[in-house]
Amino acid sequence: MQVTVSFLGPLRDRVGEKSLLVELPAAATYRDLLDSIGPTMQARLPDWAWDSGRRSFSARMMVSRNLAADLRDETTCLAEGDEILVVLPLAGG
Amino acid sequence: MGKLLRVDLTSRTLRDEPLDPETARALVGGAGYAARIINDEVPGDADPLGPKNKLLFMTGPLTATSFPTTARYEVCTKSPLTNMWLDASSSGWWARDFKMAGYDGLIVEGVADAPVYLWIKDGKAEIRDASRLWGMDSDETQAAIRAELGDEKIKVSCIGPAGEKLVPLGCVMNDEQRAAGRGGAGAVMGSKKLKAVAVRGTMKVPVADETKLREVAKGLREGITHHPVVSQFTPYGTAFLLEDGWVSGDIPNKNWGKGVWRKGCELLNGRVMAETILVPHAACQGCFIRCARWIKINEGRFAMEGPGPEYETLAAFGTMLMNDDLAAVCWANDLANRYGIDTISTGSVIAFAMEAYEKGVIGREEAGCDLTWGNVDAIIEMIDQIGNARGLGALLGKGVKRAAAELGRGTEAYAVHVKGMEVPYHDPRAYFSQATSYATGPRGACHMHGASFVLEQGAPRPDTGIPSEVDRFSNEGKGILAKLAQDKASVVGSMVMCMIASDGMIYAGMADALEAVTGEPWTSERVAQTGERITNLQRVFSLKCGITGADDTLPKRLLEGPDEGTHAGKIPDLSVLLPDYYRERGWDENGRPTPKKLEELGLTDIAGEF
Repeated sequence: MQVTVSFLGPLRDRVGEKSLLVELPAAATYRDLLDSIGPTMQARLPDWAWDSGRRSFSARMMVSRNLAADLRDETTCLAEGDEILVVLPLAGG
Repeated sequence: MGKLLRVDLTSRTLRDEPLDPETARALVGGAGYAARIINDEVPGDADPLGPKNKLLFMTGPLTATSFPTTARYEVCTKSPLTNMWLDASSSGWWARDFKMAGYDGLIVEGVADAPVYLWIKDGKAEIRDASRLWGMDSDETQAAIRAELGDEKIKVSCIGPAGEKLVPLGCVMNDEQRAAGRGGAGAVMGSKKLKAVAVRGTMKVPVADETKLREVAKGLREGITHHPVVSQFTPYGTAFLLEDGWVSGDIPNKNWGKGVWRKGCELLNGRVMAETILVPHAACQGCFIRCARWIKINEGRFAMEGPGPEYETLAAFGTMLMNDDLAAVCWANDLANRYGIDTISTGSVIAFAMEAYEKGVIGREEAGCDLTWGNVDAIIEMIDQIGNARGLGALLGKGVKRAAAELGRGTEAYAVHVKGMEVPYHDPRAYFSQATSYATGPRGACHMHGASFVLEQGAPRPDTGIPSEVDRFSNEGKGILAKLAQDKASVVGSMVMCMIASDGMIYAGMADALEAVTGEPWTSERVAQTGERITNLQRVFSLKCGITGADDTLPKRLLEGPDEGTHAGKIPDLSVLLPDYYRERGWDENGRPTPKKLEELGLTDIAGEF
């Protein structure tokens, strides 16, 4: 199945792309997704965005699956066509 | 120690008076120092638009020094919108010239018998006739005064037609459409028939330790340059927030009735602005962040060149009204600034009117236009009506609280304000500490007086002692966040520096800057306590004006869960949040500072005044 990982704001500039289309096996979990994109994230994101120890987005990032509440549980099963939104919560203005 | 200029417009007398050293030590300057004067000199029952109210223009100790991001001034008074404490801050270049003309602050009292303006140059001040300026918009006023006095370098703080017509949304404007926007200070200025304060200053401002001040400034610059959030302000301005703020639910849409509007945010954000209409231009005086926008729209009905909208205005005339036309928002921003009306409150009252129109409470004839969501012609028409206090706009210009009270028919349910101040565009249902900050804000719902939601976003805060990971939807432990954010904002408003820059600065840095400029010993603890002292002093004035703990609440709309988004269904619980906040503050269960707290803060003299 395919899921889209969308990067907004400063993360888009760091990753260099607005989104990544990721191919995953059926019934893949959020952990599987993190493992799949991990090397790319490790290479492109700074420490404040990617936690290399946990091989996950840092606790400071807000991750949402299809605009549902904040995604933290790595056993969450993903589905075909999911959009995973990754943002650095920002303030200002 | 500096001095203040006191002007009595009734008797047309001017006099200099020295700053009080004890007040300056306790409250620094800006809105802190002004809180003392207003507490001492303005009766709680004074009519905000009457002769007993006073209007203060205040700088801070860092103004006009080499320290960056300090180009601001505070306008302080009793608000005609909320009937309580008001400080409104603006940036640009005016403050530097005012300070270099020899003054730290200006106290305006009384009422002139005809339109006047003040002209201050290098220690000399005079009252001049402003009859021919009356009726001009804020841009025209500035140009006319420069031409009259024959000096293009003169800086002007003024009102537009809205302030003259005593519109409670009227603000004070200066330089390139910078605004002391919130709460109706422009109407107070208009009530005194004071059209403008023109300044030109060339005198040097004393600094105790210039070398140290430059070192602190260097640290601030380095910290901000590498700050992942604050560094976004340079390329994209405050409007960067629209690009991804909708994911957290921070951005309100359709009069706070729609949880997410991705399409609107994708068309209105700072990146889009930078890629399409942004052109290089000067920043505020002495600022390296350069968040101010300058835009050029080459074609179409909204072709224009001038100052561009920042985040709050894009939300006000964009997402709140379901308008995704960036050029139309720019046009609306320019129009509101020329009339001199607060864009935040103006967007809010138009959103309120659009909802009332949708529900059939307001008809087309009454509105004078088709007030449907996203109708840019209607938005522009309503700004014109509000700015000129005509038609339905005369009612809306009083703010949503009074508009709903006069309209009735259930409109109170979607009049979104706290104590009469329209809520700025950070949704408290996305970060629950913000519910507390809005409900208890010193000037009503205000993000500039306590953006506590920042403390819920996971950034390290080494000076606060709070954990970096906070559950944004929890009602527990949020009182301390609101208190910290409000007190820090109070210090920022007394130093009179930029709120954005302060986000990259911890208390120790603020203490170093104050120590360098004043020569007095400052510590992080003293900075924190000064902020708390100022917040309490402003609260006491509002209590004297009749505010009670019952007014510390949120409007009905914000106590309903959003329909969609990561914050769908989330509702802050004020029955938990407020008692926690009062405990952290050392206030009683009715939101009143206890005698013990006032004694701790050195404010025992006002303990019996409310």
